[in-house]
Amino acid sequence: MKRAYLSLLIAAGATAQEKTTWEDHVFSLMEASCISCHNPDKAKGGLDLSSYSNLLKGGSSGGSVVPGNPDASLLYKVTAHLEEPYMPHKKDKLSDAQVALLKNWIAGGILETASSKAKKAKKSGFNLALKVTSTGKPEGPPPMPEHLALEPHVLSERPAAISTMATSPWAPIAAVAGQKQALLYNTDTFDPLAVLPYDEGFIESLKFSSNGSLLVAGGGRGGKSGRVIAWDVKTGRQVLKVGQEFDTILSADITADQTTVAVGSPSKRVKLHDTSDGEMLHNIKKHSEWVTAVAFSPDGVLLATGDRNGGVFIWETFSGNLFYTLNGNKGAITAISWRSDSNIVATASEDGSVRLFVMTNGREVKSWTGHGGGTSSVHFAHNGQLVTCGRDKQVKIWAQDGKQIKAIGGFADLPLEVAFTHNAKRIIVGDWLGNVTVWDVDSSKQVGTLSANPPNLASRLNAAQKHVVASEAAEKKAKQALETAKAVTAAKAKQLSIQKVAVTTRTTEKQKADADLAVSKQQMAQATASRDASTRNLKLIQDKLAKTNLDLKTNETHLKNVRSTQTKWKEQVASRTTQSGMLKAAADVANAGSVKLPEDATLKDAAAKAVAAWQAMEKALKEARAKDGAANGEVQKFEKLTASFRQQSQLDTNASQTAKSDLAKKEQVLKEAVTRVAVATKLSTDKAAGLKAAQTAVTKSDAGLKAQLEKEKAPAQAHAQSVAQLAEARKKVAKWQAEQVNVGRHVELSSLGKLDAEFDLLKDKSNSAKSIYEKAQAELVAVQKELTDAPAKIQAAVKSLSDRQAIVVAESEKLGELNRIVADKEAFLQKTDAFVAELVARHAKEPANNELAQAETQLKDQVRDALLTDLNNAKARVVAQQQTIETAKTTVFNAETHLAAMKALPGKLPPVIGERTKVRDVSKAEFDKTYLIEVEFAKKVDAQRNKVNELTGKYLAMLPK
Amino acid sequence: MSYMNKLLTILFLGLVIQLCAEEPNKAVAVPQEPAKPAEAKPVQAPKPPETKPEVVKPAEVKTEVAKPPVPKPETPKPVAQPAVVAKPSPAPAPEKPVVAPVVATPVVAKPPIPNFHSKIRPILEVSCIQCHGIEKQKGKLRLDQSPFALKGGETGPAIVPEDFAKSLLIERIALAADHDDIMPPKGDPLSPDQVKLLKDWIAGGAPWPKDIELRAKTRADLVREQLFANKKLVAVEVFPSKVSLETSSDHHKLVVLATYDDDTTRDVTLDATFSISDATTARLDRNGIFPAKDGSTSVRVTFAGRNVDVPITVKDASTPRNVSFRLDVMPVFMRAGCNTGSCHGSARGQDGFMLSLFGYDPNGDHHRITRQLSTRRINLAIPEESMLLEKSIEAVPHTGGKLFEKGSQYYDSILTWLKDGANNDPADIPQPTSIEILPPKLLLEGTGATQKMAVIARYSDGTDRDVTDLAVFQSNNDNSASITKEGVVTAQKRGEAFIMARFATFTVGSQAIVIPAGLTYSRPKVAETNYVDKLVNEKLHKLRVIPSGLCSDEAFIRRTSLDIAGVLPDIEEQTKFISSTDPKKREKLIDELLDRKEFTEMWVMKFAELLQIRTQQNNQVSYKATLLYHNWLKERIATNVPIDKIVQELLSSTGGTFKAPATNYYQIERDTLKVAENAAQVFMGMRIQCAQCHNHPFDRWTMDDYYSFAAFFSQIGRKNAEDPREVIVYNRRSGDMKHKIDGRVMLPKFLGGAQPEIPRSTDRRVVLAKWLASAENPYFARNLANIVWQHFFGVGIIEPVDDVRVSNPASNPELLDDLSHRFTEYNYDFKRLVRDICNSQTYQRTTHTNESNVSDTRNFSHANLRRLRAEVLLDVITQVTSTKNKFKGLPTGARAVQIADGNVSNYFLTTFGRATRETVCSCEVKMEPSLSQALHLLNGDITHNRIRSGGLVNQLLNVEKKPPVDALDFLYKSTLCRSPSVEERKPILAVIESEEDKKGVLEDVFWALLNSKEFIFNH
Repeated sequence: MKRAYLSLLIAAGATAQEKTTWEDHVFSLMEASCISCHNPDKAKGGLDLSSYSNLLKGGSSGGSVVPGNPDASLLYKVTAHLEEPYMPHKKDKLSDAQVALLKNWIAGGILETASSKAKKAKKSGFNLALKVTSTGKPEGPPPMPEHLALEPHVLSERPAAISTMATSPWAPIAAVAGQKQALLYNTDTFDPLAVLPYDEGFIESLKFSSNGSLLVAGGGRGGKSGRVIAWDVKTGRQVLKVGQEFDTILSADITADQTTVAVGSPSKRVKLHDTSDGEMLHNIKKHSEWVTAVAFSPDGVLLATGDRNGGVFIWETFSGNLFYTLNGNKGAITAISWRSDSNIVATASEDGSVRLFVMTNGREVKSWTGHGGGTSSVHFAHNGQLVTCGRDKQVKIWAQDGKQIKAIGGFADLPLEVAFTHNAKRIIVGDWLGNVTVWDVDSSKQVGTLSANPPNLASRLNAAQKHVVASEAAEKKAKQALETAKAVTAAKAKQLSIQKVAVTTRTTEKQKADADLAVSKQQMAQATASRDASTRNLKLIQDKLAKTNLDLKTNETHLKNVRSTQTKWKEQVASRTTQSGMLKAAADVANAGSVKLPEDATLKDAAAKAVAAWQAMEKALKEARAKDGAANGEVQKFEKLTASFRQQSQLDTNASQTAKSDLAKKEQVLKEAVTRVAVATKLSTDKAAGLKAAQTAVTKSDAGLKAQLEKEKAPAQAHAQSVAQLAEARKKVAKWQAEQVNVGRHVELSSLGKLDAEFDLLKDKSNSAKSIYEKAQAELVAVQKELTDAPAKIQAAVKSLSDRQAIVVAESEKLGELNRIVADKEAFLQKTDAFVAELVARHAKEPANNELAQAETQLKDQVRDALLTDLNNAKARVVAQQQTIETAKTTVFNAETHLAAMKALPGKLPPVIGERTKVRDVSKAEFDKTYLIEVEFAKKVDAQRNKVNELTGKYLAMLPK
Repeated sequence: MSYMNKLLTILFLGLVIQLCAEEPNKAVAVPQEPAKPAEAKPVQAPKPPETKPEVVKPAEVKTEVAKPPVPKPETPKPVAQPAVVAKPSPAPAPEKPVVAPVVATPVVAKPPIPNFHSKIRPILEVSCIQCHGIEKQKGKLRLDQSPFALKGGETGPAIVPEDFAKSLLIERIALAADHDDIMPPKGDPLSPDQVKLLKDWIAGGAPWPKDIELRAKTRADLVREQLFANKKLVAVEVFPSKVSLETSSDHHKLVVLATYDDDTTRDVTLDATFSISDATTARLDRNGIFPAKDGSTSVRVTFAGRNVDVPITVKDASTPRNVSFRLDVMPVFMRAGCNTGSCHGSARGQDGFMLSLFGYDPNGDHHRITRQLSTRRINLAIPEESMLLEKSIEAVPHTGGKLFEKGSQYYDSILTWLKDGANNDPADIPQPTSIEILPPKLLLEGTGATQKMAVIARYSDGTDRDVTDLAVFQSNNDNSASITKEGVVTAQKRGEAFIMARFATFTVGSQAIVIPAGLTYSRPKVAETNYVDKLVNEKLHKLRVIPSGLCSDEAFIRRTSLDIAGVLPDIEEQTKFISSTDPKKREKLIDELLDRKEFTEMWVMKFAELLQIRTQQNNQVSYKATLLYHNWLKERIATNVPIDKIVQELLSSTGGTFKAPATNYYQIERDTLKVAENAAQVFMGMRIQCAQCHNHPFDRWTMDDYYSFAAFFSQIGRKNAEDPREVIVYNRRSGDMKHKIDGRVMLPKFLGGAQPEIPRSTDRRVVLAKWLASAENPYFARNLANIVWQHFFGVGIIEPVDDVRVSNPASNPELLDDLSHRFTEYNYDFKRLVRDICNSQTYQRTTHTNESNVSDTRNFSHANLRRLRAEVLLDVITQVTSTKNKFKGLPTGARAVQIADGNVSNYFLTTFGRATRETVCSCEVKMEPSLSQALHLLNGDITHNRIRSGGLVNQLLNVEKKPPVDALDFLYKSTLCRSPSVEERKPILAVIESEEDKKGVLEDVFWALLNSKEFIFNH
């Protein structure tokens, strides 16, 4: 252990050139171990160890350090545990090395910085204050980052929860807090615009200045340190660093005129800093909890601050005095946003509310529950709408009267930060998972994302190059597809033209077929007519034949009937003859019987009947014989008739035969004609079908072609697109290649900046050398002139002396005169006194003499006083005259001295001249040297500038148009 | 009044003699003119114990240390040639002038090579290894293994065999004592003898038996080793007895415990050898057993020739276990102390960051860490720079200081969790179901003996984990055995301690007894009446404590009468008892006393205190109700209704507070949660109040338990009766108990028991009453037995009696168990239990102590002095002065013990700490002394006026015409139950002789007696 300690001391000694200093060594030690209790906000024991000057002030136990004497320094003794209270309080002792460091530092005389010279006056390199501030949109194009480096400062495996975001009030820029960096994106194109490193830790607050030209970041390391940084949005240069805190800064803002920065932190204080020198202007102790939000009104007149208890106050920026206390919030304030007219301020709170307060009276004008569980962020757009997000995992847009206009949900985790873009057309949402999404207000659709953990340029380039390769392949494929499509189209067009020719051929053929058909049809008509005539003739003949045959048949029938009737009657005759015989016999018998038995009636009756039957039969027989004879005549008649008709029929049959054969002939002719027509018709039909088919084919092919042409559009478009994409991808490659160059350019630019600063110093040095030289030269010249002027000066001095001596003489004479006057006046006064005495004496003797008394009184009171005054005046004049003479004598003395000096000059001056000449020469040499260095350095600067310019040129050339 | 001083002096002399065991600090009611204790010489010196414990003087230890211990018999390895052939050292030692003194001249005759084990090893282990071992390697030198020592450190080889002049080891130890580089750097330099031994050893080739690794030890360790080397080993145990490894992240450490024939135990983990039978299944290193591939194997632990096989099963050996918020991260918060009440666990947290106290609200904690201030505490992009971690390792200032190192397992757990995305656990994550601390019992011998503890947690998915590194350890008696954060118990002074480990919601304990090293003790043969004596003596034996002897008959009759009946025996009773030669006279006296009504009254009073029987304002509990309630209780106890029945009736009572007086139980306390808390405290002796807002920090009770128990009382209805003073308590049949954090409806569940099925119409309280006052409830009989015990010994087996918790264990759990079993067996009959207790030798022990038990307060090795409680004191003063009291609502002459209403009191009772019955706490009865008590006895009317008004002295002298010597004897016996000693009697009688006003003198004697400690204490 002892050895380690020794070696440390030796080490400290060995690096004696590198002195132990506050700035380089001690401060970080204090920061790590002491400042949490000894800082301006919480100075335990009245001791503040956060700055060199405050450390020197010491605490309630007196000075903490005695330069050069560690053992007498309380700071050392308590940390080395040589004396109570041991520090750090209730914690482990500092390491031996740290204690040794402190000892070393005190022993070395508590240096603040390594340079022996006094620290250069702290000044902000940039004068941020604006002469004219306008609250509206600034004139001219709003500031946009100009070709800033895009290489991420820190690259992590994943993003963290989005701690803060800001949007430019006038430009399409969103600033997102990444890891130890702020990332700027174009909210229209989502292109990265800048990476602004924040080495102080993690950013908790981002704000654009009112005119959009500065981006202010507050943050730090939790529990340890905090700083406010501001960058120029255009150039990306860090232009401000103020506000040392001992925990991370939770919120920071800058006034519209850019003179003042406000800081809110866990210190429960609100601090206002001057941007020109970082000086703290106000340290407001009013909040009872961490100050979580600070926001200047857009006009910069007022400052709104909120804390973790829900306390919100409005302050006058200029004086730091309380303006209003805004009551109502019951949970931690998460965000404060001003309406652009600076008259309404909106607060968001963990109690879930959104509250609006008006600055005319400090009252709450509207409040509503924005998000159950807590509202995390609020932002006022220029149009007066508000956007909020909260623990209900929603983002909501509100009118200022609290009416919900829109709600966007579906976030996987808590949306923490939300902001409108400059034109309120889009909103940006940052969530707990580290996703930053951009939404279109009108459609409520997500339109893009911004990365809080962007890849580095190399991987971007790599990705872009891969994309190019992919795009090329895609383009090739698209092209092939297009060509394939085109080939198909060509084939189809060719087919169509062939088909069109076919249609023409078919048409001709069809026409011919149609003509044939017509002829055939005509022939057929003739044949038909001819056949019809024959048919008619045949019919006539046949009709006649039929009639004849009918008549014949009728006659034959009649004949047959007649013959049959004759036959019947012949049979009747025969039968009746028989029967009559039999009946006669019967009747005879019956008669016989009746006769025998006349009384028998029945028998008689039967005999009568039998006689009647016989008689009837006889009668019938007669009739039958008659009838038979008639029938016979009839038969004769009809036999004759039949024969005639038979003859006629034969004749007719012959005629019919002839007609039939004629008809047959005609039919044949017709048949032939019909066949011909059928053939022709079929031909015609076939041809028509053929035509139609051809026409259909044409129509189809036509449509196919058209469809194909239509179809061809997609690959064409795809191809066009792929070409565009390829171009875009190539552009990207070019862009990222250019950006890589840009990174180098920025490195050179920053070296240039440093060189410029150094050059300025050199110029200062050279200028001061010059002025020293000039002064020396002037002095030399003056001395030389003095030497040449010496004789004249002596002469003048002699003259001046004599003049002055003359004056002394003259004034002395005047004094003599005055003295005489005084003597006279004194004598007269004495006389008067004597006279008065006489009068008194006399009056004593003659007390009754009134005149005497009167004279005495008069003399005593008036005359004597007047005389005395006169005398005193005269004496005063004498004194004044004596003074004058003294003065004159002094001038004489001076003149004498001067004369003596002048007379000595010719002897004294030459060595002075020699000396001054030497000084002049030295300073001239110095000036020449510095000037030479300056000139040399100027070359270096110019070279660097050229390098930068060259790189800029290269970069711009590389940038895709 | 001059004789008054004398009288007091005399009495005090007597008192001091009688109460010589009393601690001076606890003096009670000290009269203004106390005699100087220094003047008082004990007449009856305590009987010296049969065997005087031998006190080991530090000087002896030291002399023993001077001699290096003889080699251990277990390692009889012959000293052979060095295992490693000494190679020429790689670089010559730096050319420094040899500072070695003259002794370093070459030795002509080679001295014998000192034995490595007996001579060399102790020197190295005590003086070198601490800085040059496996833990630290100052100057990059290790001396714990031979190759390292030969290799050396930054400046060259430490040992060059056969050449001690080149051995830096010798160079550095032989430097002048004030030289900067001398080794060892702290403490005395090595003695010349030791230096010589080392030189001789190196000169002899520095033989170092193969594979011997040295570890840092203290001198005391060596002494202890020596001590144990001479003992007979009885058993070797390995904890845990079997190992199951699940997932690749699992591991277990083994602890090896040796038990010797005198019951002492010793941690031999570092001395044992371990060998794994299948090294492809599990891997073994000094950090424990790790999984290699699925399967089963075993590890053989060998110590002193004994083998113990520990089976190992490995499952999911290639599956990693995700870091879980509840199972891995939250235990770190507890271990590191983040969520304790003084840090972020306080109700408002620290600096705005709050964690639930001991992690009762995991979801809330997860929310607060990840999403309360979403970007402040954690950073998922750069987890290492999360404030949660940076504060813990104090990379940024942290008021709580540095809690653990960067890269420690705690740091890694949180970091990995963050890297994984700081996720909350799924709902079905296994819950810890129990934990176990091992070894369960320790008997450590000698200050400085250590024992490493192991804590195993079991989970609902059947797995277990070694959570020794995550448990929080605590000892309830650091004076006897302290425990480090890492779980190493170190023996301190003689006594016992309860070593607790807390993990998740569980607290478990292990008993550690510490006895002085080398104590000569043999177990005394002590008479034992019953099981009480047996168990008490068993414990005393473990502590190597010898109990005191029996008390005298005089002391016994006074003690028993006061304890059982709250009265002093009258002279007749005393004479009868003392003169009796019946060997069972004590037993008989106890029986007689138990049959007196005063015994009942005593217990009615004690229960009235627990039930807070007292009037309340605005007729909430009217006097009538109070009286009815008290009478109800009195009637139940007087008729010997078993206490379980009484409690059941009480808890399930319904009806009007007049008609069913037991319902007053629910009228005296109307807050549902408090009713539940009181029921737990009174009937189970448990304080569950903490669990209303967070899990009990030192017991098993969670908020779930609390609200589930309170749910039994959530359906009590109260409505007005006709009489405005009466309230009707009924079962509302509805009403839920909701969990404070998430508003869950909690179903009734017995505290520490099952969740009963309760039909909707059933009164939940009936179900509870049935369980609570039954043998099923393990706490009921135990609690009552403990209360009874406490009454007779002044201190409970668990003390305080109503603070039963894991972290406040019974001083003699076996005894308490047996008492409670018997109590249950006796059907909760107090008398039988009291009989057991009073008949025991333990109860009848004298207050005199011996050397071994003088510091015992909890193990009943001697009787304790107990001040009489307020009511009994007033009653006995009244009794001996033959006066009467008048209390509100009671007839003149009633005893203070009989007062029904807790609000009725008088100045005396209040001054002497009568319970106001405002809470159920046992602390209401105050026994602490106060100045006003002393002044009141000295100057208050309670003594002076009563002596006069009672006229006892007058009666003795003037009515009964007793001679002063008899009157004096009477006064002594009636107050102190003994005759005055000769030393007391003589001067008093002398004063009486010399004084005219004999009555006045005797009254003053009487006054002095009432003011004596001997009177106001039971002894």
